[in-house]
Amino acid sequence: MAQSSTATDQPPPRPSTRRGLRVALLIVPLLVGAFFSCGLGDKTISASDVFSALTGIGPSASEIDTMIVRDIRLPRMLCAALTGCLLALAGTALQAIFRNPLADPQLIGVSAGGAVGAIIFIVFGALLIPQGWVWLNTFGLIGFPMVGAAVTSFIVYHISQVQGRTRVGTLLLSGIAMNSIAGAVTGYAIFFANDDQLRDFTFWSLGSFASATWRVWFLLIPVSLVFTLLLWRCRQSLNLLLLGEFEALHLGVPVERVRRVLILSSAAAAGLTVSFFGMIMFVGLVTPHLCRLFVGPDHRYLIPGSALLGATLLITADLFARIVVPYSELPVGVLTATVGGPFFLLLIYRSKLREDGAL
Amino acid sequence: MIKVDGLHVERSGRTILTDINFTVAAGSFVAVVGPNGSGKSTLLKALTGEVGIAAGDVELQGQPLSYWVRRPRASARWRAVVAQTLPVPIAFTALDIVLMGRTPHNQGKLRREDLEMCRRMLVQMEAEHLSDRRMETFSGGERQRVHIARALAQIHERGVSPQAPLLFLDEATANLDILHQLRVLEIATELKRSGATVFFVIHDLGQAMRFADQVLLLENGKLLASGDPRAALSSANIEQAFHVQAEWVSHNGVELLSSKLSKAPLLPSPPQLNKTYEPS
Repeated sequence: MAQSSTATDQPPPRPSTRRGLRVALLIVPLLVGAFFSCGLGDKTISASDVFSALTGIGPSASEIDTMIVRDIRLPRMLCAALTGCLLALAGTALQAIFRNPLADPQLIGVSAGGAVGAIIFIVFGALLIPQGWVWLNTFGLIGFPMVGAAVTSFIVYHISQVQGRTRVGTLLLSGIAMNSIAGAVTGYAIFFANDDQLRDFTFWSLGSFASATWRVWFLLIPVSLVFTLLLWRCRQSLNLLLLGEFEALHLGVPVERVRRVLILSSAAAAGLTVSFFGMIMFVGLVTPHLCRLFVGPDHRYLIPGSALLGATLLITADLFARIVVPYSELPVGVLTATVGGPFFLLLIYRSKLREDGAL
Repeated sequence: MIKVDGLHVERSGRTILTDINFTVAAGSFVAVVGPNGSGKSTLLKALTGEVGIAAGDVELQGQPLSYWVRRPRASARWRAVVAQTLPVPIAFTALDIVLMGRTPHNQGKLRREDLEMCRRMLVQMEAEHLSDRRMETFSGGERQRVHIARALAQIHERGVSPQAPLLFLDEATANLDILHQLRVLEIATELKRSGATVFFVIHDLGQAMRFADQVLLLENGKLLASGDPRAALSSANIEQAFHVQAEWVSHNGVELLSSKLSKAPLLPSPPQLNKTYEPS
């Protein structure tokens, strides 16, 4: 092949270092958010007290402040961070796999299936649990949504398999169908529910980190690590998948295997957060978009960026959920939807303006 | 290099290709020609594993096709494909896309030699001015040039693959102006000289005649002729396949095709506009 001599001797540096720096910059808001999240709440704890409670360095904070920071706010903040990270990463993975900017865990039935599991347990759980075995309640409220999420995403995925390949259009349509079926089942269960159960379900479906404890965090952390590493391993495959299914295949990506593994693991990761903390909308959808604006479409930067940004967003959302109404708590899912929905509209509107040539 | 024996392809129960037999020697330029819907693209897709084969045997590099389909990464080291329908524009720059072509060799790690080589490929396709612009801002032809550069980067320097490169181009010059069409054909010829095989689905019979070593003429899912361009693209064959009266005229050593519709057209005559058009 002809070696063209017009190639520049010193190619300008790739923008990769700059993008890497931008990803690293995302740590700053995360740390700031995390620090404020430990200090603010019904009882305001000064920065120096938070610092000493967290690190044990400096003049020691009062016992009660230390306890609030270490046993209540810190695990809650860390749970919010991991949930944000998992949802954002699941959204990132699904958006690349489906080459659809609207893909998020909700689309493949995770949230709807989780909701079905939750309402069934809330309404009929009392019939299943023998008297005196109240501790099973916690397991049920985690286990049922998990199973529901797994079952719906499995059905959606299974239906979209045509001759050993995932047909994206079918997957989107069956996701819509499963969502409406799940909606119907939820509707029936709501019909049979009493007032207390309705209230329980409503709060579950709006999402909250009130149930966050250290124990939950220790359950979440291995899942988050495995999922993040898995996604990181697939970073270049996800880039190539954006070119198109066959283009990726011809560039050596085992497309089917990557898809199967990532769809199922995204469903599992998102399903786990749904079962612990209820439905937290828009984080999985909006975070990758926001992150793309900041670090570009390359998954080598998008994956760590989305993880950091998702964590920051949910920590902040949870902080506001706790402090907006004094001595009470807003459901965090309401907050993410309030901010995420209009923001997403704005993004779409901006891209419309750009296509119209007005921007 | 390519050996096809009794190939039969069906899609949704409809026969697209039937009883296709041919062999392609390594280091040749193969032009696949034929009317719209004659199965040219399907033949290419069957050879790349995109479309399943109902019957028959396909061998690439002495191994059955199924062997390569099971080994996408190993195949990607020596085989590149530029598709007819180009991928949806995305927010990557042209250079990013071309660098993606090196993935089978570097697993996505950015190496300096890859970067330099990819820039050279963009220069070859006269697209270096596009290298830092985002794909979504390109015209169809510019996008196509970037994808060709990506495919060239993919098969350039064989890396660890012992196989000779094979380049599949599915109407890759369809959106290009005449300058860039000739540029692609010239590059393909150079590739061929260096031992690569080029499998080119093309509409321009004159270009096929001029550049190809072997022409596969398809008509309605069957292989009408295969072999030397002069024999395969004889006036009789062209009339049978395209229903067009054609004659090759030699001009300064270049064969040009003079063509007109056959006397008894199979197609209805062009619509006659007997009313003047009045804008509403």
